[in-house]
Amino acid sequence: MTLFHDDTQWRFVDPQRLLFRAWDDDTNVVCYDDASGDTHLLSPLAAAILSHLQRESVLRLDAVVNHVAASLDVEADETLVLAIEEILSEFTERGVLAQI
Amino acid sequence: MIIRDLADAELRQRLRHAGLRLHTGPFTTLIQSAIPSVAEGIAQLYADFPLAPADGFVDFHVHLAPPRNLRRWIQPQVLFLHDDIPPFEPLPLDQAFPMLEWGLNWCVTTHAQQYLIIHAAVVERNGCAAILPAPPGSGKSTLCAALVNRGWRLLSDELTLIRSDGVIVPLARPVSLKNASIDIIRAFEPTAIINRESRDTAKGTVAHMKPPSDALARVAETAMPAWIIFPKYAAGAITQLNPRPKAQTFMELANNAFNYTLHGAQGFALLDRVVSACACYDFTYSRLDEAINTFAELRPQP
Repeated sequence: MTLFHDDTQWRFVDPQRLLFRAWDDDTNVVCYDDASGDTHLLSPLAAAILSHLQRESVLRLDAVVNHVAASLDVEADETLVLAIEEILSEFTERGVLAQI
Repeated sequence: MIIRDLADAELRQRLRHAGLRLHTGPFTTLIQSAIPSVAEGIAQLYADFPLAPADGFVDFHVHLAPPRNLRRWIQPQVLFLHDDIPPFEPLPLDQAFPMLEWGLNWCVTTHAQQYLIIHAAVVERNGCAAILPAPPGSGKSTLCAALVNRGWRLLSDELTLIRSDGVIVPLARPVSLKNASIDIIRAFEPTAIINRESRDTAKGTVAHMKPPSDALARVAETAMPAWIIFPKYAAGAITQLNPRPKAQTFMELANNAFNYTLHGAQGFALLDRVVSACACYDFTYSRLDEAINTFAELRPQP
C-alpha cells in the first residue's frame, strides 16, 4: 500500500542545503546537509532521487519513479515504487523534502 | 634547548614549581608535577623535545597531582588538571604518566578546533602521508610504531591534525603501546626506547615508545595526505591490501573525527579534498615485516 496519493508532489525544503560528492570508484554518494550538519552515505537509488529532485524543483511520484528507473536502468515495478516511497518518507522526516 | 639539556634535578625542580614549558608540534604545554614517575617519563621519552621560552605563549596549562583526600595515604591516586580543573576522575598513581599522555590528547581534541582532527595515526615518507584510522585493538599503534622504526616519519600515533588547506601538521609525541604490542615492538626493534609499563589501566597494560629523533627534528615539516589505510591486525592473517571505496572511506573518516560536525560545510569540503587526494585501502596483517614491505610498495595515486 502506498503511503502517498498518486498526485502527491515533492520538493526540496531548501535545494541549496544539500551538497553531494561522488567518486568514480563507488556507486554510493556522500551528501552533506547544511541545515542539520549531518552527512549521509546515500545508496545509488537515494542519490538518483535527491539529485533529480534538486534539479527539477518539484516532481510527482510517478515522475520520480520513471526518472530513477531510466537512470539506473531498472524496471519501474512495485518494488521500485515502494523503495522510492521509503526514501522520500525518510528524507521528509529529516526535513529535507516536503510534500505539496 | 631540549629536555635532555636539563640536569635531572633541574627538570624535577621546574616540574615541581614554575613548570616545564614543552613544545609538542604546534602547541606549547606547561606541565607541573611533583610525581616522580611523571618526571621519569618526561626525561626518558621527551628527551629530544624542545623547551619553550619562559615568556612565550602557552596553549595548555596542565598539572598532575594527588587529589586532596585520604587516598593520598592509602591507594594513592593522581588527578590531571587543565587550568586547575580536572576533566577526568582520578586514576591510580601508577598511571600518572599515561594519564599525562591521555590528558594531552584531550587538550588537543577539545581546544585545537582550527584543525580537523581525526583519531588516526599518521606517518610520512617523501612528503606523502599515510593516515591510519582504526578503532582500538586494530593494531594501529603497533603498525605505526613499526613503520617509524623502518624509515617512515612519525607525524602522530593518535591525532591526525588536518589544516584548512589540506596539509597535515605533525604532532609527534610518544607512541602509545598496549598489552601484547609492547613486547612485539620490543622484539621488532630492540633499540626502541619504551618506558616502564603501567598495569591495570582502562586500556590494559600500557607503555609508551619514545618518538624517533627524526620526527622531532622535522616537526615543522607538514605533509600532504596520500593514503588512507584502515589497518586490521588478525592473528595468522595473510597480508592483504585491498582498495576501499572513497565514499565509505569519507564516512569512516568523518566518524573517526573528533570535530568534523563542528566544521560544518568547510569540514565536508576539507574531508572531500583529503579523501579525493588519497588512495584508500583496507589493510589486514599479522606479520610486521610483511606489513613494512607492503607499505614500502605504496605509490601515491596519479
